[in-house]
Amino acid sequence: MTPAAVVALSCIAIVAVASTVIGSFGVRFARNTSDFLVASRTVGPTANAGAISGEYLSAASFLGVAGLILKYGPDALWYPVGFTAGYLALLLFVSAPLRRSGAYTVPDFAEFRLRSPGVQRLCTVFVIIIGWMYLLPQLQGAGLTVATVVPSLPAWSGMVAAGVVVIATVVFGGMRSITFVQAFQFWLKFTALALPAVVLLIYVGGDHQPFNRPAPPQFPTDSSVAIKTDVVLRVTQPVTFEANGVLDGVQTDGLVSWVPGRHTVLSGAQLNFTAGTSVPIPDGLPIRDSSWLTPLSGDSNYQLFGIYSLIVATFLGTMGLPHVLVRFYTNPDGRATRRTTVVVLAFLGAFYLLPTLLGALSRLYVPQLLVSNNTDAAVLLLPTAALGGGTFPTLLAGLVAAGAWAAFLSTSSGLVVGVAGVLATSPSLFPRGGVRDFRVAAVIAGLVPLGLALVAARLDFSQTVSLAFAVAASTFCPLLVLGIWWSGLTDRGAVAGLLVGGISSGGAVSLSLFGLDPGGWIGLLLNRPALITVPLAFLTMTVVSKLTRKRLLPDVPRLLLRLHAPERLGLSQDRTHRLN
Amino acid sequence: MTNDGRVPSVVSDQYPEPADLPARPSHLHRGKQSADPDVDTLADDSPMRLRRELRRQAANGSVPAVDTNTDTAGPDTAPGARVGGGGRHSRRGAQPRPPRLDYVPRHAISTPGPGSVPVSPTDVTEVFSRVRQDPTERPMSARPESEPIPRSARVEPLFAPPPPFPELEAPEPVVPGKRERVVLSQRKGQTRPVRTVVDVQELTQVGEVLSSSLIRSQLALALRIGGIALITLGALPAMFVIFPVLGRFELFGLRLPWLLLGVLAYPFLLALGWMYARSAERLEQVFADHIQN
Repeated sequence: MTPAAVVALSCIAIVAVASTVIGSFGVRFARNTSDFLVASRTVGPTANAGAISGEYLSAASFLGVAGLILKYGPDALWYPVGFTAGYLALLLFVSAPLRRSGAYTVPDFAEFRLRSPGVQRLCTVFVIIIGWMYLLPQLQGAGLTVATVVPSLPAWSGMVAAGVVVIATVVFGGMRSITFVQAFQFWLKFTALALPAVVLLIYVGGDHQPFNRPAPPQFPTDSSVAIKTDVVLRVTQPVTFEANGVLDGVQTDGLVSWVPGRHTVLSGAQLNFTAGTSVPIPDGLPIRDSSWLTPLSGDSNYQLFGIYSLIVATFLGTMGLPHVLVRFYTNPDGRATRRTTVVVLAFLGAFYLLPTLLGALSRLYVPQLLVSNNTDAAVLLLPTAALGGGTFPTLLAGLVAAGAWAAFLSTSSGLVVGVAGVLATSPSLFPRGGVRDFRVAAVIAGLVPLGLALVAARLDFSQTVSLAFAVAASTFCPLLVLGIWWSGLTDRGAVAGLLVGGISSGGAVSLSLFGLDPGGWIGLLLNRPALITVPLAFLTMTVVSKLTRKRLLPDVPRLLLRLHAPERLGLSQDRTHRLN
Repeated sequence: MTNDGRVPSVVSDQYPEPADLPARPSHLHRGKQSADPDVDTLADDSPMRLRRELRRQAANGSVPAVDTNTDTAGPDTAPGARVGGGGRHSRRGAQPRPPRLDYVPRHAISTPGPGSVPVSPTDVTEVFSRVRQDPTERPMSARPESEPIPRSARVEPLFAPPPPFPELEAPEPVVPGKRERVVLSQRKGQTRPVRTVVDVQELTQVGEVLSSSLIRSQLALALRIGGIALITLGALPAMFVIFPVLGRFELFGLRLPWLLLGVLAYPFLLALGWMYARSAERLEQVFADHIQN
């Protein structure tokens, strides 16, 4: 094991242990000194916003965004913009009313608004599906991080380690309850990207080669690339390199010269390039640096549809993620919830500047990741690739690895708690619903996605995450928005909309998750279904509600008033009832 | 935000300032002096519109005639009554007073004041003491217990709740400048609930008009801000396709798409969120002020 690997592994271990310890300490601290509920209600907007951002910024944001920018250029910027804009939609349509409803999960809200156990059960199913889908890239990110910093370890070891740590944290610590652990992890993640970004800016300054060259990127150093999945590479000028494996259908061992055009490489091949060689780029991605710099320049004719679908999914999906809504409950009232969300917008905006910068720089320093289709590792490898292998760059790389570990640890814990919470409170599965049941549910909630992570195809993290966003946007977004703002929503309408949106979007994305990509419009729709499925779900919910108008609850106006009236008027139900 | 500093053009477009109503001194509104007269009038248009609507409905007979002006100096009051200053919400003939910074509305504290549950007829001895350093601070107990979540389903289902607010129950030493209210005897007579609060609570037709108007105005605000975000950001990909030159245009050493999406999108979203939070709070404030006066 190299010294760099030792440093990185130690940093990862420190973060894992520190989070668990702080979490279990925090539990005791909160128990002994003050009422947890009171304590949580006095959490100020800034501290709570730190916790929300800490839980939200996952492996997809920490590793995935920079990787996609390395691949696609400005088109990938829609991912972080969408991840942030989702909080604007949450602020506008959901945050304060949901806080006033007193519900802190979507099934709770469905019960509050529609008083229908059927809708509640259906929501529980979708919370579990979305939570597991979101957990998948987190665990895969753990595997990638470990496999990148210690090349001798297989990826599954990282996944299993992460799964065990997360389950143990939730079962023994209940880390989610401790707001300042999450806030600490936000600042850790921020520092872990900000420090390399600042150092790289100072070190590189204006001294790098220009981005705008009408040629593919070049290998900055001698690079050896292992191909793990079959790939079609394109070159625009003759390239000579050493290869070992099946290239263009021929078993090769030795020097290869490629003429401009498409070349197939099967998995298992090893390619060795010398410094200064042009990088072969996978088919479908922008090849020249100059075209990478401009938006919508790739080969695909469907990019515009894809971008709009992504915008819809991320804008409207955030409000439906299981680990997002829970956090807002720690605010004292609806007004503080709004202010918290505004601070979250500021924190996320500040954070996403960093992966954007690092992603652009990785085009210069780690372009070999394009060949092996392993661009998610860009942030992890960038410090040592740009600054050399000295002590300081090694420490920086260790810090980044620790930040990545914090990223999926906090998100995964939040998701496991969210999923376990709805599992444990659903009467059909766990009739007693006590602490022991919660722990059993947490183990189930963690083990299933771990199994999935080991078998599912590994797409780019941000893409897998955006699939979860698409399902959330097609199911919970219509339910929340119509439930909060439209008095005409009925339980039948909600069920119909949830089923139509959930089955169409969920079916599409599970096909993509298991590696089915027929290409063309169908492939695009399977990958980016939101632009179709979200309007479909809204439409179904509205139409069926209108058809079943007789099932409207008599006190809907009162419920809606409770969602929207400021707390200080005291219009909550208990007071109203006593008056009557 | 427009040039002259008016934030929620959102509200102003919808409810034009009625010309026949008297201008109101801004200090009566939330006790806050505003440099820009527009800001207050903007926020105040909504209840005026509501009042007009209510009065119109009362005139049509669709709503039982409710005296919405019981204790206010409305536009139908004799002009002389308004000379002493004071707007709709002031007492008739009262001298104008500067706003008291330490004023805590009675309804903001969870004491059984007018408009709340009638107190029990037994002898009551209660002592309330509160300290308010910051006049903008919200009272601690302003948030009433929201009810129907069972204890077990609360934020932290794993732990038993320790006793609430220990620091409030302990008697505190009296500090000068502290505000105290001491009630030492049984209340005489029937408490008189504020009419509009009860209207809203019981959702009579009047209350329903009020509350659905709050929801509508909040929804209109959210849709406008959301629409601005969606149209501005959503136009970008199409613009980059229609005018490819935009994608190559450089500003501050950055290509325009990188500058817009990588940097400027975030402050834009933050500004929209901030504008929304401010305007939504103001709408709620107006609603609350309106039904409590």
